[in-house]
Amino acid sequence: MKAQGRCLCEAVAFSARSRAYTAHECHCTHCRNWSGHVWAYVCVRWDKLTFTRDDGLVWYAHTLKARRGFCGHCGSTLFWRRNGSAKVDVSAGAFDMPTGLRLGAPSFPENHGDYYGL
Amino acid sequence: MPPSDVTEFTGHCLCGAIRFHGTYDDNHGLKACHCGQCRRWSGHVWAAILPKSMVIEGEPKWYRASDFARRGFCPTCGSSLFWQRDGSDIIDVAAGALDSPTGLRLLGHIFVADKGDYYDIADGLPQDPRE
Repeated sequence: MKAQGRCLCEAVAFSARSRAYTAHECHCTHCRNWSGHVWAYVCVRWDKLTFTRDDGLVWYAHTLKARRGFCGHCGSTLFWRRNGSAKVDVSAGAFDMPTGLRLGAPSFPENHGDYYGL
Repeated sequence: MPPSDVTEFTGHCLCGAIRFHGTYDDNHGLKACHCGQCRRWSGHVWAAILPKSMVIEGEPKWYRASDFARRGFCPTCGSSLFWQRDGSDIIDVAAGALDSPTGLRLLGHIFVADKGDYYDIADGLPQDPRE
């Protein structure tokens, strides 16, 4: 994929180049709580992200293993990155269309919310 | 005790800095929103309930994403929590932030004309191009 991504207010904006073209919904409790319903991401190498703006970017360490990145100005959910990893999961919803992505197998489908089915 | 035709709910953001509780009608219609703003804000698809009453504890940060509404999130963890139309007393609350069991059921999808190009909506629920 080669696509432009940004948060709602554009205080975080980036381009991504990756061989990845598959996005995944994550139904884990943390992602549902954080995104407000269901999160979806594409996993890319961190060094394949080029930021044109990152002054809004805020990281939150919810666990000892990983942290979540969002825009501190508008609240858009953007990134999940395991500590020390060369890769980062980027919100599928952050990308301008055409995204070049297709949805693949879901993550943690067994943890889906009780108000919807899969 | 609340009236018999409403359900009580509790919820919180991911870090717990913002908590809320309230009631919604038992016949409440929960729908997933595929509009461009909700997709970019939530990272994929947002879904919310319209509470009958709600108390918020903690201080969400509000962002005016349009000239008719604002969006509330946790400034610490970034959870996408609230949407409020200007002049309205009702604040929509993210379904994903509610404690289980929610007692809710997804009834359909709105703004599917603006849905993302990387997924299909295949759960058989009604789809509305707009609201």
